[in-house]
Amino acid sequence: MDRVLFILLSIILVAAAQFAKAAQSSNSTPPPALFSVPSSYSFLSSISTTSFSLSSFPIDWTTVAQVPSLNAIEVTVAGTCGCDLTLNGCDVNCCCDAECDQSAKALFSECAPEGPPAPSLDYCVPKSQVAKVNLHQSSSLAVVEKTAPDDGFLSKQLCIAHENNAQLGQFFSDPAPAVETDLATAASQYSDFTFGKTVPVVAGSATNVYRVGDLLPAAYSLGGNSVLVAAGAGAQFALPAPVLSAACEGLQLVGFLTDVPETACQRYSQTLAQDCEATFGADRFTDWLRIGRPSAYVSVATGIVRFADPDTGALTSLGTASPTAYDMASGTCQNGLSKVAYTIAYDGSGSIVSVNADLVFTNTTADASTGLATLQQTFSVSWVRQGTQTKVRPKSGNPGYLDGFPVLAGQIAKSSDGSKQAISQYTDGLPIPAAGPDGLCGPSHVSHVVFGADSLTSCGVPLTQAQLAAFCQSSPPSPLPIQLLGGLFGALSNDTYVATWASADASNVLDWREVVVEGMTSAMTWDASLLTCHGVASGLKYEFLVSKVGSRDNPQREISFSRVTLVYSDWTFQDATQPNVAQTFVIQNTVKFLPRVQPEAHAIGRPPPPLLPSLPDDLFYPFFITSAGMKEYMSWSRLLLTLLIPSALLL
Amino acid sequence: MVQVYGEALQRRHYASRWSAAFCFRLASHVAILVLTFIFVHSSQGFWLKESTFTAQPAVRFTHDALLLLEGKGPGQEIFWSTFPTLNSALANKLAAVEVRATETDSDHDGNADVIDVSARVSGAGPVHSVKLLLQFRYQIQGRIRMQMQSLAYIHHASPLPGSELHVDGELRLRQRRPLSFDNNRVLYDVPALAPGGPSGQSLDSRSVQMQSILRDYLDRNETTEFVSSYAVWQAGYGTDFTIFERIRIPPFESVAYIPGLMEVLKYAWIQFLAVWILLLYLLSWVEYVTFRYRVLETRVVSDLQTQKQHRF
Repeated sequence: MDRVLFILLSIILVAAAQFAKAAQSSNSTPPPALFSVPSSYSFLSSISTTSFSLSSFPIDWTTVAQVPSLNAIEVTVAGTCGCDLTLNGCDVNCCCDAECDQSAKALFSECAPEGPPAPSLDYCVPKSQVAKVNLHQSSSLAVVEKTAPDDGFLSKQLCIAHENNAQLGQFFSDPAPAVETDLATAASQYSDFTFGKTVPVVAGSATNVYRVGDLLPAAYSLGGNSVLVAAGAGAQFALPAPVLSAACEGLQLVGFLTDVPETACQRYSQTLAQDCEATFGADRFTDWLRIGRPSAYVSVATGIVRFADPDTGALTSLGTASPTAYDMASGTCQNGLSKVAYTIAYDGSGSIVSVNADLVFTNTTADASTGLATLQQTFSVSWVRQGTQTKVRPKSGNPGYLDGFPVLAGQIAKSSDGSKQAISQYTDGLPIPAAGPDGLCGPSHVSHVVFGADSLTSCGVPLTQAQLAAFCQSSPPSPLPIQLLGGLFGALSNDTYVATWASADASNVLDWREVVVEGMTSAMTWDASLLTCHGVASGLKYEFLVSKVGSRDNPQREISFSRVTLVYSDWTFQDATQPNVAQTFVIQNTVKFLPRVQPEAHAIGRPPPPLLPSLPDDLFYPFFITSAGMKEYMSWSRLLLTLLIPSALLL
Repeated sequence: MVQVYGEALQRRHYASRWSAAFCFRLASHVAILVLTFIFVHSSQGFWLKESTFTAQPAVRFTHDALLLLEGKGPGQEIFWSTFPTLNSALANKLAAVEVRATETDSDHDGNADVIDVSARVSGAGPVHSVKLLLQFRYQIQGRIRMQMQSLAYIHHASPLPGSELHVDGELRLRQRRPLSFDNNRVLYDVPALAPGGPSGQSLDSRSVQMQSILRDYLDRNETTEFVSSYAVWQAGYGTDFTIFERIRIPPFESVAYIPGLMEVLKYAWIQFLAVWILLLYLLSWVEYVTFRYRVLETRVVSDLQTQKQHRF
């Protein structure tokens, strides 16, 4: 019967194998692959097919007892022959190894340590009869070694004269075999000191309403809206950031209502032609990206699109985002993503309404020597409440300036009818000329003054001899540093204001103070014999006078006065033998914050309490009525006046 | 006859209250007290404001680690950590490792004396730089009780590609200010190395960047520093890179603390007493001259006269 079943089973298996083989051969054209098979797939299959067995020692059954007996450890002698590390064999130089016969021991060069070094004491009496001492934390009372004593006078003052301890020492008993609960007890006690700690999974909110700091679910929409692939770290909206190196890693998680300042990281490609679109493209941050939970995904709308010149950094406006593509002719990856500035709008209920991304693109090429293409990308996120985008603007403190925050600045503006004035506040603070990517000066290359930080910026102006002469003999509308700031601080628009307090309101011009500009009078002169241009405005010197106001423990700092001074120098063309080779001249700007010399903090007392008790405000209700919002009590002077006037009239 | 005992007789000086002699005696003793205080205080160190004691800290490796191996350039780094959330987020750069940690208590006092950590990274490629952060539970038990979670940072870089790095050093306590005497300080008993925050879920770039971790850590008052001048970089090519790190726990770590009231008074009293006795001795000579030679008027009564009066 068994044999029949076996034959039937074999027939069925062979038939099934033949059917499968035929079915496979009939499909001559394989179906289109949805994705490429990773190499690990074949790796896994190789694991299942490769035979492997762990090596083991042979068993000598002649030494195996019919009834095994437990080999008890004698606690008082356990560990006294630590060099015996071979079972049924002699260990070299282990004199206490019972498996070493005399012939083997005759070959020993020395006796290896038989255990850890025994604790020792310095005996102060050389000829003492003591042989045992009681050492703290020691189990080996009987094996304390005598060592040579110090023969000094002081060392002989304390002696071990006699020891009569009845104990052999302190020993750990061999406990009974442990059970699972013992392991659980030990594991719980040492849970903080183990590899492989687990992290509890925190379930996210199932709704589309967020609280401050809540991470935002995100996904990619690939192939239309049909396929959604989780994005970022743990399917959460995460921006690239430098983590392990300057390389971009998608770990900058974005929390609800948590602004992310501009964070720059780098992307690399060794094969630019293949990686141009995948590595430097913008799709994953714009078109593919969906933010929010699946029931309420929010797409990313493209806002302002600009192109940054890869050499100068100059920005030009683009109507729409151009596709990222590799140009074989120039070997350039064109329109790689350089900057993304997200603006996420939310409503009062805690839901995301819209996501807008301002983009900057640029071109990148591979390094000629290494073949490595590098592109720096910058990401930022700002949050605005729906409908308040134009009103919200950051403060640099409240009310005093905080270190590291921009100095608020702007220019005065008038309403169309000229009846009102306000400050047109710069979004990034007070500008200062700075260098572009090539280290040269340019109209769009500005940095911003940061409160409390004495700073220096510099940039280069390359000029040949002829250009220097022409520049020196020309009559520019304003000095060069002024031109680099688009005319700011210039003679014609000397209306730059700086906020006195960091919480200044741009609609109130009295909260702002005009920047005093000095040194606009000099003119350049060209000395052809020395190839020197005298009196070149080569920089700006910003000075801010800072005052302290308020509690000595928490002084608030205001800008009491601000001044910008033009700095002049002589530009000399150094190498007259090469007049057509450009020489770089330096524009250097400095910022200095000066503490105002002011009186020391003084005590301000509380106003004395009134001698007379306050009267309720409705004491003369029909005659004096206070407004609903005022908590005002009737004053005694008013009471006297109220009583005296009628009395005088009556008299 | 042999003298078996001696008994001193005194000449006693009496004066009325608020007399010159009385005022002199009172003022001189008050002046001695004031002079003593001025002297000991002006000679510095009267009030003990800072002290130290030594103890071996109880250090245990919490098995939290962050390892970064860097290649020739940015983007060619691999890492390994004990934090599953981070490993999952950066899975494409996660290294395969074999890590071993051993704590050795050589003197059997219950505290580890040496902590050995070794990590073998497979498939590392050419390694030019190693950054390793290890976290420990650090306890001081003595006059001050303090418990914190601290870090050891190991960094080594070489222009030569390496196959092994051996470092051997001590985990030393660093204090910016001394500890307060009367508290059990557990302010920093929170993880200094915790990518993802306390829950392990809120992962962001800042909690992973070495510079951010170290900046936050060094803002603490008490920190530990792995001090080693004996790093050995073994150059070599290969797919494996191994780090051997031996962290020695100093048996006598010096801990600075602000002494308590009784300790301050004890040291102050010793100094005060030493100077006061000296000045008192000098004063006794001044008093001797003053009263012995009748500079101030007193009525003198001798014990000898008194005993004569009571002679039986």
